[in-house]
Amino acid sequence: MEQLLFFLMAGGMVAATLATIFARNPVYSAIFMILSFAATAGLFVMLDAYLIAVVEVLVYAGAIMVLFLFVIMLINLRSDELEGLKVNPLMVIAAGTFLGLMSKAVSDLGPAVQSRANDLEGTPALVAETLFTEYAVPFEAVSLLLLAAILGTVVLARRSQDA
Amino acid sequence: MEIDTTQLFAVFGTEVKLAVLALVLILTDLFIGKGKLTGPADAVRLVTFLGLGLVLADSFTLVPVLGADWGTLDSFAIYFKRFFLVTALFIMGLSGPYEARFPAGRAEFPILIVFTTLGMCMLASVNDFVTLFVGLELVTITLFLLAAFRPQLPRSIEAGIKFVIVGALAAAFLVYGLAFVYGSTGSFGFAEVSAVVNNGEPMSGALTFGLLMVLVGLSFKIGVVPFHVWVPDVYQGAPTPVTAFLSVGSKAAGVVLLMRVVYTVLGPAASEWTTLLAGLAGLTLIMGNLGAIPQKDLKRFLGYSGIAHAGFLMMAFATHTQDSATAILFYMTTYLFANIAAFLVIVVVSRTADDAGFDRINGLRDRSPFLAIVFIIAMLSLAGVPPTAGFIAKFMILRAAMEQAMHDPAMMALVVLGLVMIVVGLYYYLCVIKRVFMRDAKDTSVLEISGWTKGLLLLCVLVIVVLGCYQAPLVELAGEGASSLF
Repeated sequence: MEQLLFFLMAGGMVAATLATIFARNPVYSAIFMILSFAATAGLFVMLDAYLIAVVEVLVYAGAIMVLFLFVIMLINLRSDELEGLKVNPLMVIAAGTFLGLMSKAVSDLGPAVQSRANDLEGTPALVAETLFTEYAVPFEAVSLLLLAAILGTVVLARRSQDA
Repeated sequence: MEIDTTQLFAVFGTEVKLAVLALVLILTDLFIGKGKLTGPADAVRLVTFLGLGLVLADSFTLVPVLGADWGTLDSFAIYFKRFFLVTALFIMGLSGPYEARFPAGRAEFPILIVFTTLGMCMLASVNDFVTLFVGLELVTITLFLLAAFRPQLPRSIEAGIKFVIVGALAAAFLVYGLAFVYGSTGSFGFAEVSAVVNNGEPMSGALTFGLLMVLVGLSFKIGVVPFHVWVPDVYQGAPTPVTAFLSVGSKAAGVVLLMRVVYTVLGPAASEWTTLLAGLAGLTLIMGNLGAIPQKDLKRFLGYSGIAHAGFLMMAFATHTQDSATAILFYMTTYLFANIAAFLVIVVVSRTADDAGFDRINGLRDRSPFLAIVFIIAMLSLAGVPPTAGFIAKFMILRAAMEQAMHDPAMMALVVLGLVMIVVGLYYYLCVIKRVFMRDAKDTSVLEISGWTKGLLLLCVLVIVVLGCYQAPLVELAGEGASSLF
């Protein structure tokens, strides 16, 4: 049963991602991407990482994809401007090399990955505890990063309004 | 795991001070501005200069502190913290003649520079891959914004967008690699990962792949071929002070992280990567030097020159001895002063225009002999001609590489290639110098230079020449910094 679920989720994820890349219409691409995020969230649930699964749906499938759709609709491309992915040989070589390296890497992953997270690890309390103790430094750095990003975005947005 | 806060503040003292400075700057902008959208840029600039100066002065009292997984303050970190603070001060000085072109973002420009510097100082202290990633994003995202800081120019926007896309790609490689590193070692700490890498058994495919992807992600930052395509376009399009910051600060940030990963995490195991690193170095040297020859724009030209310099740095990484690490520290410092001088000249000569074509330096000899001399010295140092610091830097890298070349044919080939490329480099740097003397300028008006600018240029030239003749103290400092990596 678990295996069946895994193949359903993983297969759905791969299919949805491929569809994202090859869809001609950007709106379809975005919707397939949401599907792919949902399948990823399902995989996280199967690993008992509930918090990450919820965050994946809320942040990615929710907030970020809504932004994507907004932008796509604002740009409002005409149908004759749309074109699908054009494949050239260099792309195939690069992707092929990457795939080869990656499958070699995946085939001998150590036991650290194969063992499932224990039931506790996915809870918000434990994630929060790690975040505020072991990873306090990067956590604070992220808050500075967000502040800088807000500042810069306001400047850029303000000036394109003035002009 | 509990974190000892005293130790935390000892290690990240500089960063805390910079964060406070950034907040003070925002408040200065807010309160002295009194409702004006842009605020009083001059007050913000003044506070930035004072603040950065104080933090720099303070950084000379830093002593190494034993860190933990979350960060470390060894002599290497201290060396680069000073490096980044000096760079930031120079960039602020450099933006002086330029800042009138940021009509609505004059006050925000120094604030973003402070944030970027904070990220860079943090990167100097990283000791685990999570902080590495977050710090790198802090640097990269603020630089995205700075590259697009003149949205009224299509070229600046183009530079920003290209930089965002390439930066996102690099981050994707890095994070993907980190997932594999964590998966096969169960840890993000440099010490733990290094223990697994050097446990006597051959590295697992997953770990190799992970570290390879980390290497790729960082290679984007310093512009190693084949991850260099963004460099010329972004350098050309970004505002000139930002280009200078990209070419010195951002590149040094990538170098810091590569040094930690190659020398500390890979450690002795790096000898298995020699061929790969040497190959990348060779490609980078060829692309950078040959690409620079047909250029017609000063900033784009310095972009290709930066790729060529990345080739020399990669040569040192392929060498992976302590001497080569010392050479990298010295190299970056000479590169800092030569590049800042060159960009400062570009800011002055192209102050009436938005492009920096080669014809802007035509006949510079008549328009301002002082600028002409500074520019020539900077170019000679970048080319590596004897009485300048650039020569010593290239010499140190080649000497370290030669020692390895005795028993490694790949390194031997690389050293020979390096020597050939120095000659090629000499050709195109001299072509630029020729324009200063031989070509006549269209606009023959005398260039006015402010006292500040003159002082900065004099300082750069002085450092380049003095380091070229008497470099023992800096070599010793660099050696001390490098030794803490091993």
